[in-house]
Amino acid sequence: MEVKSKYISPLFDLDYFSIKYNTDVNLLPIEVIYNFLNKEDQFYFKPNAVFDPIYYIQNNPECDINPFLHFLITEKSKKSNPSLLFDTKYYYLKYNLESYPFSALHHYFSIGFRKNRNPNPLFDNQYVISRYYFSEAENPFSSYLSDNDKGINQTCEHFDGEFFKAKNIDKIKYDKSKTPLENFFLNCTNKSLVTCRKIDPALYIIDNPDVTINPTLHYILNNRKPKISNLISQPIRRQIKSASQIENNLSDRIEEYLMMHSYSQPFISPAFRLIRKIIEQIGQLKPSCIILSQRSDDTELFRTFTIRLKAVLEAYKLTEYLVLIPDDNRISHSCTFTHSTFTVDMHELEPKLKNKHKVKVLNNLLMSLKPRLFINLNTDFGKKYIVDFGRGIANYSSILDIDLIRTDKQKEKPQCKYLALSFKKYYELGLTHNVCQNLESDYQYDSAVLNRIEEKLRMGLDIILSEN
Amino acid sequence: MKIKIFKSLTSISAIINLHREGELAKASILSAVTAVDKAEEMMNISTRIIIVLDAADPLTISAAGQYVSNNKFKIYNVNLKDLSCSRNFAIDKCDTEYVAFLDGDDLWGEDWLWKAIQNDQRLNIERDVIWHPEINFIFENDNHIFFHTDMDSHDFFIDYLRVSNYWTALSLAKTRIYQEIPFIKNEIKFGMGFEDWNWNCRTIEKGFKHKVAINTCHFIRNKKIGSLLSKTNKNHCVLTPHNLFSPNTD
Repeated sequence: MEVKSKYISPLFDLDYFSIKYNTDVNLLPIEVIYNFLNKEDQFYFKPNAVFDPIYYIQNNPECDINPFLHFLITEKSKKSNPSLLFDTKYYYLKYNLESYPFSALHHYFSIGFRKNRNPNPLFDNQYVISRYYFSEAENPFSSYLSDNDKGINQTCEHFDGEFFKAKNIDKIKYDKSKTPLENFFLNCTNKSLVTCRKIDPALYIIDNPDVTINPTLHYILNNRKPKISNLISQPIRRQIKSASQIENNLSDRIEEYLMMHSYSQPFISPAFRLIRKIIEQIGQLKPSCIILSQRSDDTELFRTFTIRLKAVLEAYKLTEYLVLIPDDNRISHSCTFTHSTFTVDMHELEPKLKNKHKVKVLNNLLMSLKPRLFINLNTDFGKKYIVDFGRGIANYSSILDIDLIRTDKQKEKPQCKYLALSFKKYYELGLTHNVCQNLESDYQYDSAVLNRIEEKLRMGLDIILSEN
Repeated sequence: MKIKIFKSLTSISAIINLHREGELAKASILSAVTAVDKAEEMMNISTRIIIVLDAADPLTISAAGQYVSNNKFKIYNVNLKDLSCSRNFAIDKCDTEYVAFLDGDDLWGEDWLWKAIQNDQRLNIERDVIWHPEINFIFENDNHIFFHTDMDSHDFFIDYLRVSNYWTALSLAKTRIYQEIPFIKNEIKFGMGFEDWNWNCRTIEKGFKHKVAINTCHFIRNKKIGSLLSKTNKNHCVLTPHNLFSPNTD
C-alpha cells in the first residue's frame, strides 16, 4: 500500500525526514509517520526543516506528547511559533489570514512560499528566490534551515548573514550551530546589532528615538527610510568642505540636495533600482506581457529608461510581448491574465505628473519598445488623450490608429479584464483570427472594423484600440 | 647584521585631460594638486601631474600655463580631438606605477589618491584592481549623488552592465592595466559612444576587478550644454561593442 503524497500534510516533509533521520527504506510512508508520532525516541525529530520541537517545548512546557502533534491538534497552532524564525503573529497579521482554518505554518508550506509570503520580517522570500535561483517548486525558507541551503547568506535586502556575524560576534553570545538569522532573533532587542551596510543603528536611533527593538527590525516593520545624509561619512564631509575652498558654494549645494532628499532611497539612484528590478524580473519571467502604469514622466531619465528597457528585452531576446497600460486600479486585474507579466510603476520615478506629460511619455514608450501589440485598456486617460496619443505614435512608426466602435447592442462597458483575456488567447495561439472572433462574440464589435484589424494584424502592424 | 630591505618607492601620475574648460580647469588642477600633496603627506610616494591639452582654447591653455615651470607638471599640447585618444596619449607618457584620471572640469576629493593606493597595497589579491571613489557628487546643472558599486558587494549585478554603466572614467589603477586595455575612441557621429562604460566592460572581460575606496569622493560637474555625455545622448549613441556578454564569454 502506498500513501500518495497528496494525502500527507504539507507540514510533513517526507524527503527531508527520511534523509535527515536515515529512515528504513523498506518502511512505507505511513509507517514512517506512525513511528514519528508514536515512538518516544522520535519526539524530538523535526518533521520539516522549519518546525523546531525543542523550541516548541521550551515555549509550551505543558506539552507532554509529540510536540508536532501537540502543535497540530491544539489551539496552539494558531498562536505559537513553530520555530524561532517563523513568526506566526506576524504572518497572520501581515497577510490578513485570521480566518485561515489551519496554522500559519500550514499556509506557508502549502501556499505561502509560492506566493512569496515571508515567514518573518527579515526573510524575504522573493528576494532569496531571485538571488539564489530557486525554482518555483522549491521552498527557500526550508532550504535555508536545512543542510542544502544553496549558500543563502543574505535573507533580505537588510540582512547580510556574513556581515552580521563579522560585526556582532563579539557583542553577543554567537551560537555557531545556528544560522545568523537565528542569532539575530535571539538578540533582536539589542539595538546595537548591525545587520547590513545600509543601516547604521546609532544614526537610526538618533532619527528614531522611539525605537525599542533592533533598528533594522524597526525599519522593516515600520517601513522607514534611513536618511541619505547619514550615508555621507565624516571623512567625506571633510573633503566636501575642503573642495568648497576651490569650488565656491559646493558644500552648500550638496547640503541643499541632502536636505531635499533626506528620506529618498539611499545608495543608488531610483533609476538604478528600477532598472535592476527590471533586469532581474525580465530575466526570470521572460514575460509575454509588460504592464506599464500610466503614471510616468517625460524627463530625460524616462527617455533613457525606455531605451534601456528595450536593451533588456533585446538582451533576453524577447521580441514577442504585449504592452498594456491599464488604469491604476485595474493593474491588479490585469496582472492576473497572463502567465508571465511584468509590471513597471513609473510613479516610483516621478510622483507628480500632469496628463499632458503622460502623452509624451507613452509616445516615447511605444517609439522605443515597439511591441507587437499595444492595448490601451479603455482607461479614462486613454479616452481623453487617445487622439493626441495616436497622432504622436503615428509620427514615429507604421502603427495605425484604428478605433473599435461598439455597436448599440452592447450597452454595457466591456470589462477590460475580459477584453484582455481575448488578447491573451490571441497571443497564446498566435492567431490573429482569434482575437477578432472573440471580440465579435464577446462585445459585438462592428464586423467591418474587425476585418480591418485582422488585416492589419496579419500584416504584422501594431494596433491601438480605443473606445470612443 | 641586520639587512634592511627597501621597498621601491610607489609612484603615481595624476592625469588631467583638458579641452575647452576655460576657467573651470583651474579648479580641477587645484583639486589635483591638493590630492597629490595630501598623498605625499600621508604616504611615501612620488607624484607627478600630467596635463594633456587636447585641441584646447586659449583660456584653457592659459589655465594650465601657470604650471609650466613647475617640475612636478608635464604639460602636452595635442590635437587629437577625442577624450579616449587623449587619455591613451597620457598613458604613453607615464612611467609611474599608478595612474589616476581627472577630467578638466571635475574635482577630486583630497583623500582620493592616497586612500585608493593604500587600499590597493593592502589588498592581497591575485588580479589587479581598478579603484573608484565611493561617492560622486554631481553638481552645477543637476545636483545629485551617485554611489559607486563595488564588484564584491551585494549590489553588484553583472547584467546591469548590459544596460547601464556602474563607474565613471575617473579611476585609479596600475598603469599596466591602462596599457593593456586602452580606451576606445568614441565615434559619436556614427552613433558609438560611452568610452568609459565600454572600458569598464572590457576590463571585466579581461578579469580585472572594479572596487570602491571607502570614504573617497569626486565632484562631477554636470554641464547644461556641451558635455560629452549630452552630445552622446543627443546623437542617440549606443555603447561601442565589446565582448563581455558575447556567447563565448557570457
